[in-house]
Amino acid sequence: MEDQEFLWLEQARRGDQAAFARLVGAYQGPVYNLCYRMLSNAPEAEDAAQETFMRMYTKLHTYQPERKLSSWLLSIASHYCIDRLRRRRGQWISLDEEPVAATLPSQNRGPEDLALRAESRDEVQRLVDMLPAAYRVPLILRYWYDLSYAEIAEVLGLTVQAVKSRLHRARLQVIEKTPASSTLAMAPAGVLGVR
Amino acid sequence: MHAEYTMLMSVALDDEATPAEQQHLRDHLRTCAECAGVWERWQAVDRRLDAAPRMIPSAGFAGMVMARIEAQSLKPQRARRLNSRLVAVLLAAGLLLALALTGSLLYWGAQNPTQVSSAFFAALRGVGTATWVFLGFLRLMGGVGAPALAAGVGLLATLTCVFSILWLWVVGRSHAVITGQASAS
Repeated sequence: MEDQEFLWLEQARRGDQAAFARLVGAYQGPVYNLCYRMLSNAPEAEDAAQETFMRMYTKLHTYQPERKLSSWLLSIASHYCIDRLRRRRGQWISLDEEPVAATLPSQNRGPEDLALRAESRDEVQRLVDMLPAAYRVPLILRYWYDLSYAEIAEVLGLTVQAVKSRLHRARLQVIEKTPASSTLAMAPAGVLGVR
Repeated sequence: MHAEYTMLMSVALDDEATPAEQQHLRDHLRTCAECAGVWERWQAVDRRLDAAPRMIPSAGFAGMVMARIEAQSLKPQRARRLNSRLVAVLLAAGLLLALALTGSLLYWGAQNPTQVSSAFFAALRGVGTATWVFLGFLRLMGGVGAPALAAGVGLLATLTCVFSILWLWVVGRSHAVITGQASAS
């Protein structure tokens, strides 16, 4: 953890709200993105991300400095979103809900490019939505956070072997649910090399 | 497709495959057209997932979090440390209290054998009432801290011990009183 963040954390532990607000500012992006990818609904993701920071605030004393602050926060957010998905199961989904109405970083792109990106984004999110929560989290942590097996295991409290297995199963399900004709499954030429 | 190779593909996509595993997979893909096709699809999906953008929250997000913290009067909790000396003193005091209570009750029971049963049931009623009052209090307060819980559990355990001993004594004493009365009549 950076010295500055450590200082904010210590100040926040002593009740300094301004310091905590700076920590929220530093981590709001990763936490919100995880919540959005898990819940696939912008207002719900924002609420979940806020709830994550509130939990973090009340549990600051349990944070152990040898652990990465981002891992700890992502762990709180993941578990909260999994709980929320469990509660959501069995509930009716409103027809007014727009599952992909999220805020994208503003970039100066043409309308065609934006439309293409939105289509691809929706398709990616639809695939993620099809996965059970247990497979969804490791996949999100792998692709949007570039975490290693060991780091994902730390965030989720799993063994490395379990992470490896869940990612494998997640991919099998993604492929199974992706038609060969889908743009998602079309490989550019000459990409057969193993990394 | 050879199912055993999909795990290797997955590990390779995560950059977690050893050089030997990578070589093994490469060798297989050269000889198996079906698996090579699958690998191609896996790579395509992997690339799309890799390129998916990160979402960002609306402007003023941090302000909204702080407003909720303020509205709910949340405070960082302090770490609770169990004071082992205090726990030992409380346990010793509880034990002494239990011994004193048991001794007093046994002495009183020996002096007043005919009143033991009614006193026992009156005490039971008292414990029942106290339990309901305690539970109501907990509900009112919305929770209970660790020291209060420990004290409550300790008190209940002590009362349970006292009443168990008393119960055994009452049973033995009643038998003696009944047989004494029978032999007297």
